[in-house]
Amino acid sequence: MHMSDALISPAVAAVTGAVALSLIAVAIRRVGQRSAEESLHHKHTLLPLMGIMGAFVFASQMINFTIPGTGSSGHLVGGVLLAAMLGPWAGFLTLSGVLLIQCLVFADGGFLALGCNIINMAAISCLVAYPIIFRNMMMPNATVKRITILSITTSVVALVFGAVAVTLETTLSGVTMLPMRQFLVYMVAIHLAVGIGEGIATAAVLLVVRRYRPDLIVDNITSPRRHHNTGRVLTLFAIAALIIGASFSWLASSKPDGLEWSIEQVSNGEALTTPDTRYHAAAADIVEQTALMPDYNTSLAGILGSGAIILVVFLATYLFHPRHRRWPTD
Amino acid sequence: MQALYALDEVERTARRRSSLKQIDARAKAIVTIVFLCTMLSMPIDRLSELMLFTIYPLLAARMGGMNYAAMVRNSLLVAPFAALIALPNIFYDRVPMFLVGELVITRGWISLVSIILRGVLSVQAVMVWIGSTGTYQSVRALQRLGMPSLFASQIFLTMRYIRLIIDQALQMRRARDARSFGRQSYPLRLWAMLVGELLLRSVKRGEAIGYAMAARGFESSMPAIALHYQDRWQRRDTLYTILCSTTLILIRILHLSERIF
Repeated sequence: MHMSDALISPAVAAVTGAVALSLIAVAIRRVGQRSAEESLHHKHTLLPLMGIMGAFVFASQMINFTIPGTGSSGHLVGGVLLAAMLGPWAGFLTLSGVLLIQCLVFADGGFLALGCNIINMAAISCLVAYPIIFRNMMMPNATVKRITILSITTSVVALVFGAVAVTLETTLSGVTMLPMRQFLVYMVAIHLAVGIGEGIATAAVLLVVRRYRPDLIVDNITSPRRHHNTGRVLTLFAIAALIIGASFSWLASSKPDGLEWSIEQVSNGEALTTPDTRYHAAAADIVEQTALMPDYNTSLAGILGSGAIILVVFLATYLFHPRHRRWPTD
Repeated sequence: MQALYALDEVERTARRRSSLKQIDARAKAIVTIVFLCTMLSMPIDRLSELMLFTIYPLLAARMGGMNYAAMVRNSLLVAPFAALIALPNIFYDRVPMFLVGELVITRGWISLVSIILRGVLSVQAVMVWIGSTGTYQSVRALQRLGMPSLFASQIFLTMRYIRLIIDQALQMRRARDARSFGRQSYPLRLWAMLVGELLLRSVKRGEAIGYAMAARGFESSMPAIALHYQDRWQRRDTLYTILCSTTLILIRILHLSERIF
């Protein structure tokens, strides 16, 4: 996911750099405030802990685990883990520092592309995916299953949104001629798989930490700090889905889909006409009466389609959501 | 292990005495940024003009006593990902640019080579800067150019602990390898125990260091100004910055390769 300088234009670098710098400024203020409010123990150990956690992310990447059934191996990336152990802002700052060192010392990611990399990897995982999904949906004394599912979901969302950001930044830079839709499909597909591996690794480490040092985890895996807020998460997802649906619907191709193309080939390019029988006329009448969007435009369809998906997901989560009482509380 | 080698290599190179090493780290940082901005703003179909930018890392590496061939080898590591993104250009951009014998070279091919060159040159520019300065002085320079002290301190601490933690990780991996008969990776359960243990040891060490630093009066960030001899900006730094920046800007705006060739 580390973007090289070769893939971005100075304009995109300037905008993303400005956004990343603003986020770093906010993070520094938030970490400073937190440091002042914390107990003496945390006050003195927060900065060294951030440094050592950054170094840990480096070191842990040297130890690989086997991905079952694929013959390949993976390693920890660390965004969600850092956020869970240091808090979102301190985690973001730590990961940004790690990215800067990777860029300067290991030539991993460009110096001018640092703003892009900070947004794609640190900001999206620590400041977007983690607070919205993991922290909000975590329960006191959560089960292994819940921690695993939330870790995987958070990591997948973080990586997929990161991949979308990479696609947007590269396309806006005008570097690749690959149509954005295809580029997006490749990137999302690859990072979906990577996200699952990252989620499993994060969950595995979090479970070990919870077992031996539960005090190190900042959020409510172990203590009833705040009640979860599924409604807020669903609302945020709904807004995100609507925005994505509306803004990406222009990517929808005006060319025929697979079935239409096949029919065109069979009929030598002539559009098929409806036989003029009274059965067909009656059927067409029913379709016109019941169709939601008979002559739709793509943006409206995007919004309505997203809305329909949200409704289905909401109903599914409502129907299949287990009762809160199943998780023990203190 | 490679990370440790890379770190050592950077610091070893940075300790060598050279004319580039004498230049202030801030001047080198500014020139690197100017180089990246001018080089990356060049349209990707202007390969000949982009090639002129090779002059900077080549000369700077010479000034810094660095092995340019090794630098090229290391910088080529970024080429595959850049090439992967640029590869579709061959198929989508078939506008013919020139002929090599009977072979038609399209704009797609030009942009592919151009994108790889951009990636390689940008890595080389950063290598020249860090290789002639060292990581500590480079971050110090960024701090003096405006990077917040807390962020810089966190980076210093991360860099300082990387060796310790990597050393710890290597010990643990060696111990595990000795009992695993040549296995390269481990089942998730075993991996989680290894990495979890590494994390717990790291945190314990971090807490101990935090208390030790607090006992010596450390107050959450390092000051931006240190009384080092090297930190003083001199006339040669101004000269180096102006000379390099002007040359790079001229290469960018004057289209020199078109005029010369």
